[in-house]
Amino acid sequence: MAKDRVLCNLRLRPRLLAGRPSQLILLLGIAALLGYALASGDAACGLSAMTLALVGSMVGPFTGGNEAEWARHLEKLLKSERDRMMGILDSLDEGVIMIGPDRVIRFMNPSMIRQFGDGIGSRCHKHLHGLEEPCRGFCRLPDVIKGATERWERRFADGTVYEIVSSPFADSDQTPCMLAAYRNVTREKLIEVELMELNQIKSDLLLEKTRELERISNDVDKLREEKRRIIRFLSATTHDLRAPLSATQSCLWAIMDGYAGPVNDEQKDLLQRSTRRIDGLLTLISDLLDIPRMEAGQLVQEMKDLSFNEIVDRSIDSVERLAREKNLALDAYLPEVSPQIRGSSRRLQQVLVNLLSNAINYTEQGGISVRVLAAEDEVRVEVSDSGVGVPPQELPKLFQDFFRGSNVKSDGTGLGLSLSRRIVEAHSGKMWAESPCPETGQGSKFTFTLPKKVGSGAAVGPRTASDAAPANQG
Amino acid sequence: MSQEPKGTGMGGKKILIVDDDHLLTRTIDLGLRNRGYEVKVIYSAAAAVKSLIQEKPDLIVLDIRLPDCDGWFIPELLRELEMAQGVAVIVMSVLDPDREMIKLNKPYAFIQKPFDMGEFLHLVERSLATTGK
Repeated sequence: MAKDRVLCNLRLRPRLLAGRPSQLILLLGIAALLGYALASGDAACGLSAMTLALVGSMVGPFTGGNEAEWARHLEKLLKSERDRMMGILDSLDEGVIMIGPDRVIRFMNPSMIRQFGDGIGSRCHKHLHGLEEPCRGFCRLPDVIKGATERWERRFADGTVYEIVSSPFADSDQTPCMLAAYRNVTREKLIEVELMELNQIKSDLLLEKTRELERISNDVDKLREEKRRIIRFLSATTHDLRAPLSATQSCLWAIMDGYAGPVNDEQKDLLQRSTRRIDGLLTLISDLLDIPRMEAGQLVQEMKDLSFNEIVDRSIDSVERLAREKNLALDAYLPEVSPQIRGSSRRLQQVLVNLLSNAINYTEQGGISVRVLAAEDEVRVEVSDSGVGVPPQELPKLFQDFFRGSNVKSDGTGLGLSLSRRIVEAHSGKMWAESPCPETGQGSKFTFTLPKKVGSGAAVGPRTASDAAPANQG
Repeated sequence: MSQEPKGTGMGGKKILIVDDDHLLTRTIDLGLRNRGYEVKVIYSAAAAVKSLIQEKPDLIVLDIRLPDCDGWFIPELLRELEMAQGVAVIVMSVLDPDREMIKLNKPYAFIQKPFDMGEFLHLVERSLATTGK
């Protein structure tokens, strides 16, 4: 752009030069500035050339003055412009070099000299690259002289990297030359290399993490297989532990009921004590086998639509014999229309059986009642007894894992209530205990809630355990 | 349940008990004989198959865990032999009911051990009433 502008100015001035030999100096000055303008690539230089041309146009018509004075004045102007141009070239960080078609360096700015040493008059390949012959393969000189503008990078032997921009340029004697700007990009390249290395490290890390994830995934698969194996083992163990106890329990119950002949009161009492011990052991086995599931947060796995009254009926059937043996009343108050809930039948039955068994175990006189209240959005279940109750200081710890109360009389893990609360919470419900029971002022009351499906009945009618349907049908 | 002296029940009905637990089979046998049933106790699935064909029982009381194979094999065999209509099956287990197998094999009832003899006999009586033999 600068070059075009200066040439344009020059084309406007020939008539002013006619018959004034001293004005040739001005023309040369303009040409010199033109050279610097191209070398620096700075429009300011072009402007200076224009200024000089303007001066020429001003002094052109001046014919009456002293020629010598005019020449001094012109020299001063030229010097001023040259100093200005040199200042600009001096201040450039980039190195500027002009190379002639014979590969001789014609011009180097101070930055170029600082970086490569003064090589003006030397062959470029010798001075810049220490080569005796012109650079092969990467020398752009011929193409650039023909008019091409090129940009490339060159790494020198000491590791310095330069970005070089070269363009054609006519020297003051109109010799076609190559003007090139050298910018030291070593630091940028180092950063680039470091970035590449960092990226490589990042990819390596990613690869390592991916492999680690694969290893973890394999480990998880192995653990799953191990878990399946343990569950199979636990299932077999459950059977092997429960089978002989269950057979013994059924046998003792049959004897107690007179199927093997008359039983006197003392024999009956001994048999009852034996069956209670077996009950305790069966519960203990169930609780122990639930620990791994509880720790894995997998107590409740299968949720289905359920009719809640049926769960209460089956739970009562399970404990009815225990209550009968202790001559305790076992009453259930259920809604006429069974509330519909979503949950695990087996686990909710486990909760109710646990609460009812506890109530029976800690009650010697009176009875136990189960009351189911169906509100608009929840089912509320209350299990109350007339037993010994819970000491006030133990109420807050009642639902802790492995907590055993001070008045506990039977074997157990201390997990029953904790498991029950977890099961209820897994159904988005709540469970709590009160002692004494607020309504009766004796024993204790355990309450839990479960979210209800919309459309369940809310009417409540009394019923007794003997009204309950037989257990485990079909 | 109330005490049950020796009774007449549905005398003459044949019941096959298939379980390898001798204490339990003896207890069940005692309860059923008290009611006047004809009872045969079998301790393995292989012997049960033979007895099933020879004795043609009205009811099979079956443990699902037998020493030689899975007890569910028996209801499957009954279906294959087209005997399922005439023979009721009560399945027993100490484990929780396997709902899928129950749905597939449709036993008359599933009863979890331990169980009360009165409750069990009540179930037996009702199951025999359905076979209509």
